[in-house]
Amino acid sequence: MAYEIVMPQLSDSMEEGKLISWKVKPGDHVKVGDTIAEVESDKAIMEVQSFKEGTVKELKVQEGESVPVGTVIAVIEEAGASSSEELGVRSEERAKPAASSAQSAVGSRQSGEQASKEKREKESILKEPAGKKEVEEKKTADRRPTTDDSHSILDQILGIDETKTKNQTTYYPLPTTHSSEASGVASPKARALAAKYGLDIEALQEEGKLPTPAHEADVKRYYYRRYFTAKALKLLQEYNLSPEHFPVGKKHSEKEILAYIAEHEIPKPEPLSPMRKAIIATVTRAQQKPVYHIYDAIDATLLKVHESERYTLTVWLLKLFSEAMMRHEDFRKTLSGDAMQLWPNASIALAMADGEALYMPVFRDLNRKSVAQIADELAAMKEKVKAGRVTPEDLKGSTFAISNLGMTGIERFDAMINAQDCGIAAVGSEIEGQISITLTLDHRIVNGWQGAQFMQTLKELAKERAFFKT
Amino acid sequence: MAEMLYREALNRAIDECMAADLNVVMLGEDVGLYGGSYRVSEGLVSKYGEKRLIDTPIAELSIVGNAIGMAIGGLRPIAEIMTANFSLLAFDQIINHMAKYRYMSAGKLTLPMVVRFPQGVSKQLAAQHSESYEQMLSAVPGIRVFAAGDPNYAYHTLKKAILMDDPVVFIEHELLYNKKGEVDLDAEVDPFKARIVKEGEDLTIVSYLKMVDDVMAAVPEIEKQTGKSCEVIDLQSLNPIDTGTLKASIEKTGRLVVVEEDHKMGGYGAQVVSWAAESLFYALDAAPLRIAGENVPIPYNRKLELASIPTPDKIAAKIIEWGANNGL
Repeated sequence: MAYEIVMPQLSDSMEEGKLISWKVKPGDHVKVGDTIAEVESDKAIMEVQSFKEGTVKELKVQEGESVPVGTVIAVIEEAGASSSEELGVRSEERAKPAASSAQSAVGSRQSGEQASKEKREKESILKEPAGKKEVEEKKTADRRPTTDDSHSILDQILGIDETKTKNQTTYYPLPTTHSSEASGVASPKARALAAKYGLDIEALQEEGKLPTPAHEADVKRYYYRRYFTAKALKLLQEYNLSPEHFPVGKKHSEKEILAYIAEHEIPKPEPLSPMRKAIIATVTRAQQKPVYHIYDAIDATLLKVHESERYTLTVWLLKLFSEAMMRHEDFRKTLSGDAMQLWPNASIALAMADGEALYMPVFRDLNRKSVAQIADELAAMKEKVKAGRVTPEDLKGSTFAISNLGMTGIERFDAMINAQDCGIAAVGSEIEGQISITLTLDHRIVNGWQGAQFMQTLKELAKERAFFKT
Repeated sequence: MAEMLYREALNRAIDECMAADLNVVMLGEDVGLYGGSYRVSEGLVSKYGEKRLIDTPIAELSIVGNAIGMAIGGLRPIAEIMTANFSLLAFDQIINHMAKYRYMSAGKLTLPMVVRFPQGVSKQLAAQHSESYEQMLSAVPGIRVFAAGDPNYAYHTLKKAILMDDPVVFIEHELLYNKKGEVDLDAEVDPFKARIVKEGEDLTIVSYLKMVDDVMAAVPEIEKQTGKSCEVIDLQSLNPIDTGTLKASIEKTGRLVVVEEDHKMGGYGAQVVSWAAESLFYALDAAPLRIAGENVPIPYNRKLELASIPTPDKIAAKIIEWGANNGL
């Protein structure tokens, strides 16, 4: 029996996922728990595992492709079962003999070739000189005469999805005789195009450069290959530009394409990454929250004294804020429907960036942890962020957040509230012994007075020698 | 917007026209007291009386003949034929009289009338009650031929047909009467315009009446197997044809499939394909495909009946096979 692996839903807000890489290929044997693929959700990259043992039959999604949650991405043939039963059903529907998928694919090609051979034999009696048959046979065998790297780019420009076309021939083999089978040299549209491009279809078919009969896509493929360099085609694809914009009859290189792009002010389309989509959704929600700001600064003297490679400023800030949160319960509250929820421990989300990626991983129950533990957790999380291995579980459970841009030399800024948090602290750089702190607070949860009290506590703690002894 | 059945949409169109114009009358077998064989005129006799909903004898020639006389005299009659096969008796009136009077009288006479034609393969009504005549009717100059495939078009176009000064043949499919659909009562619907039921890029599938639903049922399988997208067009107006909409679609896709329920020999789809070959030859990237009924009288046996006409499975299989053989 075939077992289907679908794009998993890794978080409540996840609607589609991007397949980052395949860890298996068709024919591989997998055991329960083996990693099949890496998938990027709107929040993190996760591994997809197999829940059954068997052989990888088919990978349905390409690396880099985004598909909706629930889409089948791979098919595993469970151990002990053969593929013939499933295919048998399909074959029965079409009243064709049952066969394994490989056999039927080969069979169809043979019958198709045989049919065209028969047809050509009839034609050759009428008009073709002897000895030509061999050349023509080569043509049919190579319906797509050329293959190299730019092939997939071309198909994308032409809007051809080759994986799907291939599947289809397996299910519906070419019949030996059928009234709708194409005959003749080329379709009218292919002829019209060839005339426009100045191509001689018959001559190209003689040389095996075009299939018989030739269709629009064949002529375009040939023309684009012949008159555009590989780099030019890549540019066209990147800018979603049609090759039809460029005059026929001369070769176009990257230079002409770039000139066209500059002259016509063509923007380069960049699809939103799942990460960017998640950021847009989060900040859009944050923008709708009724917030206010409190601007102040804390004394940096003791923080600087205790700062070390292991106990970084961020470690101390986490400790400092968690202590203040334990003294001000509003900062451990979240709003759920028409009730507040008061959480027993202090858990803080920390803004961490790595290149394009921005995560808000949560450091939980900080009030119960030593500075050393916090330092270890922070170091471990940095590694995770760098490797892109942050899991949805890492992003849950905070009531407050910290964003520290102090290391960049920024004097002061304010931040946007993450997810369900009641507020966020924007930490600036140290200037004249002071570190600026801007609190952005959700007024539905924390009132101004309580916000000011919290800030007061932060300032006091920063000056308390006893606090740093913990 | 209002959701209603196809027959309710037709009923509402007639009702509104009768309320708005005292000259609108309806005649046919069982259209009055019984409310029509397909309940299209249900409830109207109690509203407008027996003089405006006239039950006639079983005599199709006289139904259409009387309607023509009424139209000459200034009324706006709606004649109902119970099922298209019976209309053959009325073909002399339809072709020699209804279609010709305006021309023969040098424009002095107009015939503001509608003949309603329920037709098509229903369920086991056998060869004498299952035929389709759009191909013959569309071949007659002087009449408009509309084919209603959904409640929205049925409502708007029947109203316009009743209030139009040209004679109209209004074709309905017997299996559509209980089809539910949204009717946008305030919309401005052009009865002469085809409807793009689904947009697509790679092939154009043209159909009308019930076959549009069958095509739509086949499309997911076609798109899954070929990886290509289908554009589906409901012709709606069979004479004249909205060639503008067809041209734009075929120039985009380069491929044409026509699906009709009627027998393939001499069927209406041949007209669409011949027009495309004449007018759009160099836009075609493959020989057009016609999917139509078999060239046999419609069988009574349900299995044979279904074997004689296109079904979603057959439509999908034929298009996929055609695509594989034609470079799709």
